[in-house]
Amino acid sequence: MTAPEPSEAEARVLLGGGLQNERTTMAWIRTALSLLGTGALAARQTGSGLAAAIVLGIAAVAAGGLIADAERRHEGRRAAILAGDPVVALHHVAALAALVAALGLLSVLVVLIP
Amino acid sequence: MADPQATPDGSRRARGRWAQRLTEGGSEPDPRFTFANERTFLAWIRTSLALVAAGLGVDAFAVDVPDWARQTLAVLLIVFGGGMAALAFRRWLRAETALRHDQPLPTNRIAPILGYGLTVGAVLALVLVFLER
Repeated sequence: MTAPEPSEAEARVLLGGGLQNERTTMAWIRTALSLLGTGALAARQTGSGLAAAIVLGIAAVAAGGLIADAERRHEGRRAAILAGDPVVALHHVAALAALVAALGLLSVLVVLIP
Repeated sequence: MADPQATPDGSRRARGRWAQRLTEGGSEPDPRFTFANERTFLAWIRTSLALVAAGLGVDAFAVDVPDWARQTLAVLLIVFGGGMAALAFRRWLRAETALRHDQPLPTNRIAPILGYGLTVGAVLALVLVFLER
């Protein structure tokens, strides 16, 4: 017995968009882990206990949120490809760029303020 | 009830000012291209994070150089990293718009900035090391 032929939409998910979607989700996870690592380094450089805890906490929450959101969107985008809906993630991209720029600003303060 | 975010072709439109600017005109690109564009953006963001981490690392471990030199190099690297995150977003937006309008991708201006910037940074670090000896 042979498996039924997938429909054109299903084939897009299985052969093209599905794998790309998975790699993109993994890229978000790697980026979140990089954010956590850089945040931890910034926290270490703050020196003070409370400030370090706050910086590390923000980095951990941001990284955790990014990973959870990436996993959630992975399923949503799979459905979007099947339905022919847009998969563009404008707000997530903008938020991440702003977050990294803010981390840069914070790191400058960490370096300049003894 | 009709979907208020639906486009004439039945697909959903993203909300917000940036989204409106992005989705004005053109047609939905192949999702694979959108994913590839997003992964490229994420790779630039990770490069930005690496630069910020490098700046913090210089501040933490370059203990044998004068404070002003250590701080200058660290701040340069961090500002470079933060600025690159903003440039990466701009690049992503332009590429996505080009994909929607079936136009050639915009020229990559971040890569030369990164290359020359890192070269200048490395030469500066080398000079600092030799000055200190």
